Amino acid sequence: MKIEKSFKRAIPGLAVAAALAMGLPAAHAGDAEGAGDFKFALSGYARAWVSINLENQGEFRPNKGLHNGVGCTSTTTNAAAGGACSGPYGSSVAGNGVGGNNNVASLNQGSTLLGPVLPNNSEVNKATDGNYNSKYKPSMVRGSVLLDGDASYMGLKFKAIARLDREYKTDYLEQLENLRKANLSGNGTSPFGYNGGKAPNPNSILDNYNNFDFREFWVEAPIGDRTTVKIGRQQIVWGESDFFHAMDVVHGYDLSWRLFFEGENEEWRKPLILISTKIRIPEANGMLAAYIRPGWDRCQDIGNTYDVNGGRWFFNPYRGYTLETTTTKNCGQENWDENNIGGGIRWQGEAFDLNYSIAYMHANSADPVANPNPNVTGAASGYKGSTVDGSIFDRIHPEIDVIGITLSGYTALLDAVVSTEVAYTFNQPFNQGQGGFFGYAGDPSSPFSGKTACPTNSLGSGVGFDASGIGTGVGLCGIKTKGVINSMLRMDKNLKLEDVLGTSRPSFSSIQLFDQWVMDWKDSDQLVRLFAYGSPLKEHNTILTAFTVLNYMNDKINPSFVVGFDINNGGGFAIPAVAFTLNDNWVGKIEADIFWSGGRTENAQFSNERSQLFGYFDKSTQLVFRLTRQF
Amino acid sequence: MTIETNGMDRRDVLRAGVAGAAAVATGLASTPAMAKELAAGFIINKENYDSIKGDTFEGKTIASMVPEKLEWMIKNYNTTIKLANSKKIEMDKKYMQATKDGAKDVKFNPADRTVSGWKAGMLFWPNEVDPKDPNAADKLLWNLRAATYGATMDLRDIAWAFLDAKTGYERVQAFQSRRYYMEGRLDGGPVTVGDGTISQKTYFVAIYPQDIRGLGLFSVRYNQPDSKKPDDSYAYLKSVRRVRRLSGGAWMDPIGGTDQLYDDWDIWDAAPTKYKSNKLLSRRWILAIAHSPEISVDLKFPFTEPAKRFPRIGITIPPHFNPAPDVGWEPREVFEIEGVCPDEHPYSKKTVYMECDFPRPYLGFSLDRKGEFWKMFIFQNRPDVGDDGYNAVMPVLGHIIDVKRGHATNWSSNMKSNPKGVTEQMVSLNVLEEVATGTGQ
Repeated sequence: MKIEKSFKRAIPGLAVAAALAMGLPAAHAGDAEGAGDFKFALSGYARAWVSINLENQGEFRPNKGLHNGVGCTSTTTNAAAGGACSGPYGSSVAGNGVGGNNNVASLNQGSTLLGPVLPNNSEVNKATDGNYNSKYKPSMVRGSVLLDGDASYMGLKFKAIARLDREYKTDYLEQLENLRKANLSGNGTSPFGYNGGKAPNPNSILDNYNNFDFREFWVEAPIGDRTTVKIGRQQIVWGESDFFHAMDVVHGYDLSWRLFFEGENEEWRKPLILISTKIRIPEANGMLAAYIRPGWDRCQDIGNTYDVNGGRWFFNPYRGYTLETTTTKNCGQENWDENNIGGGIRWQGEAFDLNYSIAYMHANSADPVANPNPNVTGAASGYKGSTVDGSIFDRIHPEIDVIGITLSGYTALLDAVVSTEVAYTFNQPFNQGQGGFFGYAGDPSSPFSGKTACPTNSLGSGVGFDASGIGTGVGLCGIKTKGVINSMLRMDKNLKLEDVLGTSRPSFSSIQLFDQWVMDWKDSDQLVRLFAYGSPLKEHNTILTAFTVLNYMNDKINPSFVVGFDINNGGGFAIPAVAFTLNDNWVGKIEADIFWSGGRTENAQFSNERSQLFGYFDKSTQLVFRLTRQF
Repeated sequence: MTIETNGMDRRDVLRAGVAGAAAVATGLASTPAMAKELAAGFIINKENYDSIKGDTFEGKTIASMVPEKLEWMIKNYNTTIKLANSKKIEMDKKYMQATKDGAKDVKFNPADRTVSGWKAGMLFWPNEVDPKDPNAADKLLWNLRAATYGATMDLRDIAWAFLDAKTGYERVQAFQSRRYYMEGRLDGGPVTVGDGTISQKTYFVAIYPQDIRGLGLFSVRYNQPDSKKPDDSYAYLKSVRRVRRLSGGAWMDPIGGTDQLYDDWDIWDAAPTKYKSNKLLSRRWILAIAHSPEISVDLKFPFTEPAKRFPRIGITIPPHFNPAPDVGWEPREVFEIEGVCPDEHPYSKKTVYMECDFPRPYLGFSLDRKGEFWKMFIFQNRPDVGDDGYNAVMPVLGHIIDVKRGHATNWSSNMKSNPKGVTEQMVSLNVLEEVATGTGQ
């Protein structure tokens, strides 16, 4: 459970405050005035979700072990239980027994038994009630209470937001938890050991999701007529893009509990301790904004958070596989040290009926990259000479520098607002090493097949396994930084659907194209989209998204539809939803989160099955109910 | 030349009076009893309307002061009217003097119905507009550009209550709002602020309920003569912590989920040139709410007690959206103006009844594209003295009633004219996020 000790004592008090606030008729956004000009307002909500899987997830199927190769040599494969091996690692498991001894999974390299990376079939069966079907099972039953307090006194403004999250361990989560244990037990050892040298017994899977946090806590002071300064834990959002982030890089996001589906992204953006200022310069028709991150944040506050502890939102096919025991999040060295200072400056203004901004930021890369352990690469050290704590790799968020511009304006010709954003990231880190874990090109049918060697000048190049002609694969050859241009083009328009669909007012609609262009592209760099996957990153990664919101009955019923497509790789998502406003206190939402992979997904862990973005969410389609009691 | 009352000259009135007396004497009068002068405090309702419509108040028959659509509301939606004696309302002397000073400079162009040369005060003396002038209505509507609110207007505690004729109170959306006029300012500072291209700037910040709390809206209205340039509109979306520019062509669209269009702001918000044509139908007397009681939003009561928080709406009395029965209606002399909306507008026509002496709408109604009665607008107004002593007249409540659906969205506000210490920069896009984030005070 992610909770700061210093906040634990606050929980009972906050719970009482929440109960009082909900019970007192006067406690809506309470307008309380005290002595002098002190003003105070409290609002918040109690919210509940239920998510139900609409697909059966492959991790629970028993034939997801990669191979059984006990007894095989590097040149043989085993086509049947107890039979002779037929390949370097045995053939893919199509059912029980193929590839040799059912009870042992192994990576065989020559005669070296590297031990299990993955559970074997029987372990999976034992852990998960045998061939568990996750379809129609609740994957999330969650409750949150949020308190949002505002106060002002003598021109100062104060804000405090706290949120308590708790989940119920559904049967599905229990199965994932068991699968997690099976992934650890297997044959008893990890090929590279575990963090700290000893296989830990993982905590409750609810620790992935239960949380309490003071999300925001700041004071804002005016200085003269033009300037405000804000100090404390806060959120700063620059840029224009929806769903994706070109200049919106100040903060990471917590994608562990609902991925990106909560419409209010302030709820899953990770606040940071910042000192920020805004200086209004009306003579230039604009405003200067700047911030410093003094480096007082916790490691967990840096970068995006994914459900890497084997939870429901860990990417396919790694649900139930925890990275926490063989990797660590490292925020203590080099240019990914949480104590390093970051900051940014932005000018925004208006000219020729257009709104524009230009900004520079020094921040941490949002997505982690793997800093591989020298035990894996055979190199002398980790990235930039660092030491690696994780037995296989550390998850790090190296610092990046970003400059960007935005432009938006209304066009009467289209009766629409057109916006664009272009950001250049000077040193975006990517993992190198395509293909499966210890890929070997000798057997193209093997899921491990891939590159024969790490790319030149990478950490793992020419050393360790690479020296034997076996590339590390799955992004664990090292890290390379590249310049990246992220660009966005978007049009917002109110569609007049009143006569067509009977809506009560025009429907706010938007279509956006977002592209990531990796500069100085070389195939030989073997860049991968994400560690643990061998699939290659492409020079261009383009996503098209669109949404529309319909309104009925004075906005009491609001259907919406969001869709996104991966233009380069196939796959996409769709979110049909209906939001209800029942009265001042109750709002509800029903939505379906639908994914399709376009055939670009992994069915076997650490393989080279070319999964791309939406392949990560294969079999994650679900139905979600959300109910909020607000005050 | 002044317009004669209700299209009748004095001789006609005398003839009618003589004829009426004769009819009574011969027993041929249509009303069974002698018309009487009603007293202040008398409440007109659907039960008594037909029997008292021939009676008088302040010398004018009730029927002559109740327009057809208001009568319909009385009979079909239980609107009640408590008679109150009329009180003289005078706009601020600076406003009247500016009208006088600028009269020679203001020009109306009949070719495109635009105006030029205006600085402050009314553009046209309403009592000097020739009723036979085919552009009379346009000129009177142009006067709405010279708002009676003052140079700056605080729409304090403004809230829209959503009300259903059968089920009553549904919910509320509450805001704080401020409007800063960039032209026509009579607060002792420059009459025109900025480069002269902007008419006014307005922000709204939502304070309740929690799901919209922190939402900010900011708009800039331009004063191009032809009014073709749409407003610049922006929203600060607190849920994503971003300002987003909005499409500007929204003047014909509903304000959020309410029954009120942006065009219905103050009953009539659009420049007259946005309408295909406008016609002065009459000069007449109506019963209107010109002195709504002092408190429109009673902050002593929470949102969970809407009937007490919004005491000027009859929330507990079906159909739940009429003015509260204790609010007084007084005779006011008004212009009755009908506008023909553009083809893409949801309405086919809109009619407004606005004060003759200064541009203050009291009542109005709209017809749908089939020409059927769609919405009734009843606005409650009140004189206010600004922090600088400016005598303003403010709308403090708007009843926007969809008569076809039996649903209304009524807004209430403790309006304040010329609040002290407000500068232009305090109503700008660059402060929207700061204003939207906070106590909502």
